[in-house]
Amino acid sequence: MEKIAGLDPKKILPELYKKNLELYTERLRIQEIINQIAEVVFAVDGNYKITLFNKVAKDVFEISEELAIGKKADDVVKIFLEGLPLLSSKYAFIKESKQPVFFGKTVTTKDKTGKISYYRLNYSHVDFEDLSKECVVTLTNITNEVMEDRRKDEFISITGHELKTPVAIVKNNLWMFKYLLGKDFSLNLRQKELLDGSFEELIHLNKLITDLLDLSRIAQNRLLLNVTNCNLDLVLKDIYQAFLPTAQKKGLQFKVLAKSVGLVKADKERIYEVFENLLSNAFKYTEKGFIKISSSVGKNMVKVSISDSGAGIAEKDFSKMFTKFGRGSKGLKVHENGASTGLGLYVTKNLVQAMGGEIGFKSVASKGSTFWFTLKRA
Amino acid sequence: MDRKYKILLVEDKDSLRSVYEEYLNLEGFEVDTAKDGQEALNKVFLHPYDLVLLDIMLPKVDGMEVLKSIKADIRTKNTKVYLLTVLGRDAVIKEGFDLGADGYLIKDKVTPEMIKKEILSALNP
Repeated sequence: MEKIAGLDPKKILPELYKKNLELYTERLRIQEIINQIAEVVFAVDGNYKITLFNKVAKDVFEISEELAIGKKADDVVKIFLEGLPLLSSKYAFIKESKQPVFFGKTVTTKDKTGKISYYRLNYSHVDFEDLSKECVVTLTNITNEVMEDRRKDEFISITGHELKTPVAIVKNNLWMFKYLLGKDFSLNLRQKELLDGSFEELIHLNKLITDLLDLSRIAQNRLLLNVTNCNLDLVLKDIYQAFLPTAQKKGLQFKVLAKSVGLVKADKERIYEVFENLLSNAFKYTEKGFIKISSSVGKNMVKVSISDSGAGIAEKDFSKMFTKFGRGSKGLKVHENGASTGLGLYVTKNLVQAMGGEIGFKSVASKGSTFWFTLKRA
Repeated sequence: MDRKYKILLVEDKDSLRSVYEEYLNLEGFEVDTAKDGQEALNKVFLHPYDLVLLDIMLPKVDGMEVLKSIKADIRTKNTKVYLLTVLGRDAVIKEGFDLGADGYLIKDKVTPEMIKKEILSALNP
């Protein structure tokens, strides 16, 4: 200002004109850059009205920049999260510490023909000194990635089902073989060992395929559970019987310390899978000592804990435990009791959550672990 | 069992069919078999069966179609139908129940003995 103020008044006007032109060209240049960005870019002000709208946004939402500017964002930018409209007031200007956070979430758009496209939602806030604020939103088209992922999941799903039939056949044949030999079958110890070993491995193989299929179901949002009233006491009894031979074979103390729990909300088949996953982990990583199942009944929830005196989990691995393919560093070595896919806990977490419960653990390396989950009381 | 229960076993995989048939025969059931959906439809309306064990993925006529026909016909609508499937817990099972299936058995989970138990509890509720 001082410089301009010091100028000859006759020179002020041309100077202003020149500066104005410069600003205008600069603005056009920035606008062009924003327009050329391959992502949808738009901005809203504090009243959720559109202040900026680039070319890709125009193509996606089928409205010109001139018409879009000044309109309520929700009238123009129609995006959906899991099929429900996501309003700009839900994400714009929301501090990240406040839940829910929609940053990085996958949202969808639908064009006139009903074709759905997938976008990753990102946004950032700009505070101007005059206390006005704007939120700049970008949507990155990830339709190809989503489709690629979907094809992968379909592939897993088809392959998994194809693999299940031969597994079922071999399992049935082995079972029948034993049945035909009769109760007092005349196999020697070695022969019996070979037969039983094959049967066990087959069950393990089937479990791996089931995990893979569950994984693809989770990814495709097709994990359908049949949650009904389920007698947890009976489940615990079955589970105890099923794992007792393994405990005896390994010389581990195996106890169910649960008092009567009664009815819980669970899927009658999937609840077995939850126990099987947690217990097979406990048995896999425990060489001596004990494995205990205990329970406590709260007002609305039942908490089941599975404790072991096994390898435990190093603190640096804590965050990996419930992730896809996540395993503790000790779990990476191929274990005597079967290699693990690292899918078990991820699947288990999703199963427990789908039944309305939560899951967690505490652990001390070399001392043991306790995995717990909750279920709603019926 | 006062009399032998009559079972129709519909399964296209030879080795599964033969094992189930052999076992159920040995356990005192009378077992007829069908290798595809068409054969199942031919048989199911000729003889009265107590229960049909029905695979879903079948040549010629799909298992779901067979189920639909059984439950739609006055002669067979009270015949119990258990689906045999590896498509465990999917939408397929819901579809089966919607069409009137009385239960389902997941092939890679059940042993022949468990199938027998299911059959007996279905027929003696």
